[in-house]
Amino acid sequence: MTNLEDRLRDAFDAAAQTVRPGGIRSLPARRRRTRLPHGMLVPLAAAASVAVILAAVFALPPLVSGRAHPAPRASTSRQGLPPAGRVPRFFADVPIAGVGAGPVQIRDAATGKLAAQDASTVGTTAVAAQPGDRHFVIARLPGSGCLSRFYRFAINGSGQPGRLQPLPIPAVRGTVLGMAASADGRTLAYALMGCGKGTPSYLGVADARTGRIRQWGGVNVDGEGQGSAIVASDVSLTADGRFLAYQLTTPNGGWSTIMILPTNSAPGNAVQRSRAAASYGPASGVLASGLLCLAGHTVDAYTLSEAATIPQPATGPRLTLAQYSTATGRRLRVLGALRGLPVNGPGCFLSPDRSGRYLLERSAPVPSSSRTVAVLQLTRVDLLTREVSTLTVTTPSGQMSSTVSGMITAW
Amino acid sequence: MALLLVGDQSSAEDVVQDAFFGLYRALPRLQDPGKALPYLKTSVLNGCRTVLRARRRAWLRRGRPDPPVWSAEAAALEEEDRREVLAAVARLPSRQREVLVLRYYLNLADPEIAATLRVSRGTVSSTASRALAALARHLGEGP
Repeated sequence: MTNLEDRLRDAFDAAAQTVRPGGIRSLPARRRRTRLPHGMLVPLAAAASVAVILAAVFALPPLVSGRAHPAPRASTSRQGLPPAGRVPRFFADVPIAGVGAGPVQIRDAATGKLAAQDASTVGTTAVAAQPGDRHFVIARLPGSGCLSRFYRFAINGSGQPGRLQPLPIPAVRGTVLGMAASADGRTLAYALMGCGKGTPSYLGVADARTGRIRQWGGVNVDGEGQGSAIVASDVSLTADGRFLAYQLTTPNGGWSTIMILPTNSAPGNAVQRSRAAASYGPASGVLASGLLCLAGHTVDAYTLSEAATIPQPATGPRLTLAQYSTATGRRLRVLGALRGLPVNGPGCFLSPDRSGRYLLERSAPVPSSSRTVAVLQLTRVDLLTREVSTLTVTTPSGQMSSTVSGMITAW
Repeated sequence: MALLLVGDQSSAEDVVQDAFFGLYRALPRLQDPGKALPYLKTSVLNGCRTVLRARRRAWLRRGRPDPPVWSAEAAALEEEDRREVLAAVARLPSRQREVLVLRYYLNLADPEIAATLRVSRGTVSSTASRALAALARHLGEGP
């Protein structure tokens, strides 16, 4: 193959990737143009008159008495945002206390109320939602060993989890800290942190059906591992599972770069196999802009930047939520301002749902006077309507209690 | 494919929508389900040709189309080299453009391209060869 042919393929692929599924307009209703034979007009007009009279007779009384059901509101669509998607009924979260991780909790997505907690999932370090709004994949590091294993479970209509089923993926050495699933749930992407200093960390993908895994090294996941490239543990995967996206940060945390790694590339150095999609740096008046998250739905990035307000108000700093295109690096839109608590350290604090319409922002714990209960505040953002709602999550008293330092969520 | 031929996402969406709508209407008449994909490809191709023809006839144009994806104005592509390649492709005659997109984006074999464009296999080879030669000239690449 010639150099020119390579350039052509590369240019075509890059142009095709600028098409954002979320930005595609919904189909307008088409009117069918049908011609009626002249002979049909009179009988049809008569039938229509009868239908109108019947409708008036049966529909008017409820309208007058106010008992009629309100018509469902038509959904609206804005350019560049997902046109549809309903709030998932449940989300899964895992409270993190220090280095340990708790059992998976299933919560009501509308209220944050705990629906179920499964003790068999203690040691879960990463969770990802699978298709169907009822299935989740987790990675667990059980006991004192250093082998992470992958499992799957389903929840029923009331949020109760079923039995934990091991996936045919071989155990991987290290702690799986971030995980994402493709749209069909078959491909899983993960960031694997080595066990202790000097042990290698990897970015990897696994086939949930065949168990085949592929890993790329040379990275330093959340400060652990061999390699100079520091990557945040939150990874994302495009809906078709062809590209893994991750965030590369500079040692001082000032700049972040979104990197795109084709999942069919040969194992080796992750950064060398990836291309830089977009970079973000501290802009004027912004203290921190390194909090990035990639939606599994598209490869757009969402950032939370903290306004430099000194002293900080009692309600917490003002956080600006913005959406960036990883194709161009340009900011597409500011989605809103949130009042939040200082988020501790780099990492993804935003979880997009599977439809790409909603984001869940997970804050640091709210200071609580109780020593037995930890309170976390989650913010849900509707990217279509920009409606922001707050969910207050209280972890049940138990081993997590007041040492909860954060949580990971999937929905 | 539609984006690469017409240049902007809005027009490409319209073309693809029309193609799917056409396929939906033709489904009852489609005896071999395996023909659905070739039918769709041909429909998209024809739709793109219609859009490009309509653009040339200024009086039929209801509004200025979005800047093509390879233009600096669109700023959709971050690398200058890719923009340059796509802009060079856009300068080629439409048949040559179609052959390049079908061959290097959809990865179709020459017989499939020939069937989609309804030309002979020899025509596909010679068109592709001429297109690559013209591209090399535009891009300053040696033979």
